[in-house]
Amino acid sequence: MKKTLEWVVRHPIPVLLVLILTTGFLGYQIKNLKIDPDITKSLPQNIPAKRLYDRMSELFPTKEFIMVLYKSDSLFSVRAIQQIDELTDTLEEFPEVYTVISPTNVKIIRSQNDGMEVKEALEEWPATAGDIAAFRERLYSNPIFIRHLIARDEKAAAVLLLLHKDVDAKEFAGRLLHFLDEYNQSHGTHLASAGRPIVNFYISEGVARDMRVFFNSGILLMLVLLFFIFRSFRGVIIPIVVVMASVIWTLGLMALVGSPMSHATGMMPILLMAIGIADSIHILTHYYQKAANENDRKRLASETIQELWSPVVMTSLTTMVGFLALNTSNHEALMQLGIFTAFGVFVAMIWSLTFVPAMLGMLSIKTRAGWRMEKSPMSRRMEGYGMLLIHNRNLLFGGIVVVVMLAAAGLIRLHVESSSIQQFPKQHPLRQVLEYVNEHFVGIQTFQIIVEGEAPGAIKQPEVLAKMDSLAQFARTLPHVGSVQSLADFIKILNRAMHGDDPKYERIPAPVERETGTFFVERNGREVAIEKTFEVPGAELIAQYLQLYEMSAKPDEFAQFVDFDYQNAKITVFLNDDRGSVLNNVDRQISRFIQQHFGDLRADITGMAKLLLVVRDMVVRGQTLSIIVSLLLVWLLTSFMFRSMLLGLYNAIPLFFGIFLNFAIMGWFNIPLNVETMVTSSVAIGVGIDYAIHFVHRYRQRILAGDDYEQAVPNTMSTAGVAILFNSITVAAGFALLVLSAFKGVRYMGLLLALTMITTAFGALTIIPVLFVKFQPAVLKRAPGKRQI
Amino acid sequence: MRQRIFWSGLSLALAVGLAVTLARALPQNQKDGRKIMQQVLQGSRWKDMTADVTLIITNAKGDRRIRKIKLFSRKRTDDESDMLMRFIEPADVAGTGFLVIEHQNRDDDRYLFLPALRRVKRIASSGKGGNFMGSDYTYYDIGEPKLDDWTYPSVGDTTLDGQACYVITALPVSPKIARETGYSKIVHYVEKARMTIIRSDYYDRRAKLQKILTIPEMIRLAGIWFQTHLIMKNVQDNRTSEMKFENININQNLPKRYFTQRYLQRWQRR
Repeated sequence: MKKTLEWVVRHPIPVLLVLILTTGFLGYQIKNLKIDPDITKSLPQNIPAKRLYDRMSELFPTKEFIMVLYKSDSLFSVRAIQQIDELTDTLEEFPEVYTVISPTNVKIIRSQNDGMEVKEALEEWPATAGDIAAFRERLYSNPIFIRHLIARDEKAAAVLLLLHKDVDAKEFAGRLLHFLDEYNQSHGTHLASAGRPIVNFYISEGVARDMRVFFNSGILLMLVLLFFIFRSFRGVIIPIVVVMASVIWTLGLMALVGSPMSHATGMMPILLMAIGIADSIHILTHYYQKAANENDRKRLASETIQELWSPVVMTSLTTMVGFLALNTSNHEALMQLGIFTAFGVFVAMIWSLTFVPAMLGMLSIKTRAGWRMEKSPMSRRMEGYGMLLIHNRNLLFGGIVVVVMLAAAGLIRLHVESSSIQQFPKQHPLRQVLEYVNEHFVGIQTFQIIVEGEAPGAIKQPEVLAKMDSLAQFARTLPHVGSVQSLADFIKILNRAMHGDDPKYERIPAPVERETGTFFVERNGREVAIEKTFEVPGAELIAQYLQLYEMSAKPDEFAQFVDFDYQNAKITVFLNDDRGSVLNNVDRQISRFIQQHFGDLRADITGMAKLLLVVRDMVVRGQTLSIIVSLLLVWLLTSFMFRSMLLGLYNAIPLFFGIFLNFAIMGWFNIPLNVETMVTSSVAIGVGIDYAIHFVHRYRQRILAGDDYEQAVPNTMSTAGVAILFNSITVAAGFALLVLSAFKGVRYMGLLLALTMITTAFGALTIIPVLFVKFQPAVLKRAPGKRQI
Repeated sequence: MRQRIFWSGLSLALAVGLAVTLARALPQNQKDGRKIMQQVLQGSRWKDMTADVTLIITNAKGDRRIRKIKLFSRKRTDDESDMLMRFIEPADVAGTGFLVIEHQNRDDDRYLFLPALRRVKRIASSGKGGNFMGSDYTYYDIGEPKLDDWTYPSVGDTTLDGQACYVITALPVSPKIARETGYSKIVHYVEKARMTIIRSDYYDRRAKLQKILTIPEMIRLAGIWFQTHLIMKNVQDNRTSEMKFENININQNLPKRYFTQRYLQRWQRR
């Protein structure tokens, strides 16, 4: 290592050339970087709900839908109805749209005295108030679709676009939004839209915006901080180049391997900036401290890096471990965040060990007044803090115990919650539309229950349809369920319509039904018609109803409900709330109902809502594991570094403290656990451990140099203490930039991360010294091995 | 060598001469698309017919739905027909009957008989009434052609499967027709020799090709051409609907009572 670093300082040109060329290559790749916020797409195949979701896409032609809202204070007016009808026609012309269901074209099945009628709700544009009343009445006679199409307050109508399954729904959503804007301007309408693809579109926009904002504000913050710390050109430029390089290399690698940005990886650049800058600050600080006593620039650079490479490597390694521990979550977006951020940290380390010394070796030495660390006012202040600690250690100890107990009380209040709607700030246009839709329509979040028959035609059996119907009826009673759609509803309506609109017949035919009908018999050589009651299999009734409906149906009219050969059916449950707790309740109740009532009929739940639940569970469960794993790894790593399990444990104490406090604050301030906030502890472990390492390392050096346990505290404070303080403030300030995010989850995460940096640094600067003085571990006096840092 | 050139030159001259003569012989407006379509229609004018029809719908994945139907049809007036369909297969709908009485100036009357209920029900449905049995044929496609719904702005010539054809472009006369039929344009290929349509291309309202009807098979019965195999390919959804006609009999003076509700209801479970 020594020789390599020496070589780097002596041969800066080839080193810089390699670095610049690689940066150019990877930077060029970034143009291929994609943004994909759909966190369910990358779920692993070993999850049953995900497998079923993919199978559903094979069986049924469409899975995503978008609602286009037509808002008007007088919805049932000639003008509004005409506009809705025209809009329906216009929207049908998008090739991405599989079918359009609107208040004007929805099929209405009605019984008439001598038969029945299957007609579109609007046949001709209304002219009179009577026409309008008739239209409204027809529309309201369709129980299956009414709340999908007309708002409860009658101030909006919805045109539903069912998208082809193979279109890029998010990309289409973007174009549709643009189209609707233009339509509004040219037609004076107030169209808005909602639906999963629209949400995903806005999330990607937010991710792209976040990345821009983070990058710009990150650089600005670094400029200010670095200038404040070093007040020199090189002190600003060198760390910024290191950080930019690590961001560019990482994004380039993501593009190269085809990993898209999600709103988890979206925060990676800011993490890298905050973390990556630490090493170069550390090196530059040391450089300036030595500069006063050195006049050979190559030797100065070489010695600086020789003395610092091992803490740089160690802190980078621990940080990487913290991020790699995210891999235990089994959740693709988090795993990618973990892997790529770890890679970025590694890149920053490489640049700190090559680019920084190479540059420093080329630049003429400039000394800065006041940079002999031991003499600076800051180090004197930290020394004072160290003294204070020793004198008040019992008080402090008690204070910490109180804080920990308060924190423990906060833990009880922790709850898990996730909602993509609530990710958006209250005044966001999408959030307003979604809230309106959830209040006045059936909702846009969906579960799908796939009923799998054993043979073609299974779904036409009365027993199967009856079970599907009972499930739908049960689901309708659950909180926040706005609507349930299944083939069974059509059969019930047809059964009623074919029995003179008798409400008693709004049911699935029994396996054997008694019907009365006309027969022809020979009487006195003449054929006469007589009425007779007879028994008929319910299955035949159902088959014939379906045939009747098909008589004039579009191909695939039922394709959303049943597959081509009637073997598999799809029941869709619409929810008007997307909070995880609501979804979880509905999911559980439905699966219990299936278990209790479906017997050997196979039915399973999937759908976007189910996948979101799966993601949530994976993250929450994976997180606990990842905290344990990363704590263990960090303990092992530091134990190895210090050649002592006990010292490793001391290192881990500030982390326990920081993580504990983090969750407590979430509890006290009612911040729910979710995908974003869960990442905080992993980051905290990886970054927070550095402070402890620095402190313990320097403290032991002081002890070995002959200080006693108390003396060593102020002496460590004046050197490592200052560095830790600066470092944690810099990193916390960087993380705090995440509050500029478009998403609430990321904002919380920024605050929590910043806070955790402060608490772990506080832990290193307070708890560790107090404990050292109190317990005076003998291991600190043992001379370290040769490779000891 | 020289001789061959001579002969081919001669035959070319003859062919050109013949064509010119023929063209002169035809009235000047014969090139008019509407006239050609009328002639086509005239050539397939039967009074009544019965046939066994097989309808095969194949979806994009290759799954098939097969229906067998006994069909009775007659021309009630020049441009109105009656049609009775009796379903034979699949078994769970066997006996289902469907009676359509066409009207030129109002919605058609449609009656349905469900053997499971032993009742005839009148079925009312919108405008031109959507698709036939969930196939890619609309009722408009299989109904009596309505020449007045279309204008025929251009007629061209081409060769299709070795047969000289007129290419007739038909455009809807009004936005209303476009809306009701769902077509912005239909291109018919009329085979000159037999004066029958052998292919039609249907363009949807976005002016994109939606369906191609081909007629690979027809037979001549009592002096008229009868299409016995129709393949409608939906090129957008990759679905095919085939109709095959067998045991065709025409002009047998089918009794009027076949096209009544009472006859529709007269079906006995076998």
